Amino acid sequence: MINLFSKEGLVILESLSFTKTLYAFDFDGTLAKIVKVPSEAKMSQKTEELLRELSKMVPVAIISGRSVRDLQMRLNIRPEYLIGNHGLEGLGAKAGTLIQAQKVCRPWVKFLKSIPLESGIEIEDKIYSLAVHYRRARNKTRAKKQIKEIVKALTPPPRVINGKSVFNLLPLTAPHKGAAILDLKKIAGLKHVFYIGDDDTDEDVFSLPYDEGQTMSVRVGKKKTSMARYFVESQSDVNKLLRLLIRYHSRLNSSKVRDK
Amino acid sequence: MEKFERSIYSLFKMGIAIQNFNKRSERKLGLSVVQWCLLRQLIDMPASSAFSLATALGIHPSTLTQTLKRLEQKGFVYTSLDPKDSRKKLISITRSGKEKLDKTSHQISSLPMKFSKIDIFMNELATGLATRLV
Repeated sequence: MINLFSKEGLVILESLSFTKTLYAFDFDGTLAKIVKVPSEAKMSQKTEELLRELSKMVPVAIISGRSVRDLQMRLNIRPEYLIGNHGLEGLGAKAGTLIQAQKVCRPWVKFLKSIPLESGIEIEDKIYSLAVHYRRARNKTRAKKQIKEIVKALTPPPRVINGKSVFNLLPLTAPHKGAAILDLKKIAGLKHVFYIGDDDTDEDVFSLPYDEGQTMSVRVGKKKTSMARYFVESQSDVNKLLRLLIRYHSRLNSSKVRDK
Repeated sequence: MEKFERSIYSLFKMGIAIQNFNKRSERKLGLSVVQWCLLRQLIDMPASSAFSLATALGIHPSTLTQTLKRLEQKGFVYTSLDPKDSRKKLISITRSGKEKLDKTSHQISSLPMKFSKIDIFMNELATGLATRLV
């Protein structure tokens, strides 16, 4: 993994501004800081201002495991694309697909709510998928173990994506963020994507092919086993990144004006 | 001289004319036509490998090496190692490369090129080839 703010990282980042590129961001841990209570997560005012400015210049997408409705409540801006539930929502999925996902998830929620859980385990019902958080559990190891056992008992078996102190449970047929990015590229008619995320759920995007600059993947936080090619040290670097992107695109616009 | 032989001769002369134009372009504008094409391709293929770039341009990767070296010396492209595969190099266009490309795109059309001559060569070539096909 190479630091995005190294010379090579910056040259590639800038070269993306010369062509039509979609800039996609994960929400929790990327645009917004990770907080103890997931329902309290929100973007800082500065990040929001910068993202608003950027979305006036280029196509911007937010891709999250949260539901679209949840995301909308947390945002004071409307990016061009808002994708929820790891790609199930926001990409024009057929009503039948969503109903099917809802049908699969409902019994899981019912089952999880019917059994005594370790204190601090929280169930987030996202209608088309669910998240089982254990960030607030006193004994995280025990909580994690219990969730793993419960997940094994669920029918039909879910696709499990581990996150930061959370297990995301999705119907087996549900798309992942990588598939969502590919669909989004098609919908937006763009060849190149810049994507930044912080979690294991983002690995599906990080592992997309990179050659010809199709997807430039950046991870928040360095991790050896990650498929992302570039990293930024922490979530607080996201504002620096947004400023850079704005600068690159402003330069480009001003040179276009100059050429005219 | 037979029509077909004349067309081969025209092909040779056309090649020379293009080479001269390429040299004149680099001398006068600081960017040859080949270099211009490569930079233009890089705009659509940011951070691509030499192999993909060569495939897109329809040339052999080894043909690209010299052009890339010259562009790198001029600071118009930047070569870095692929973070996930250190055997692979990624080629990107730099800001100054982009500016040069934009500037040259306006100027290149004003370069004197004996298009009329090339037209004659092409006509001869087409006629020669047509006689072979009939």
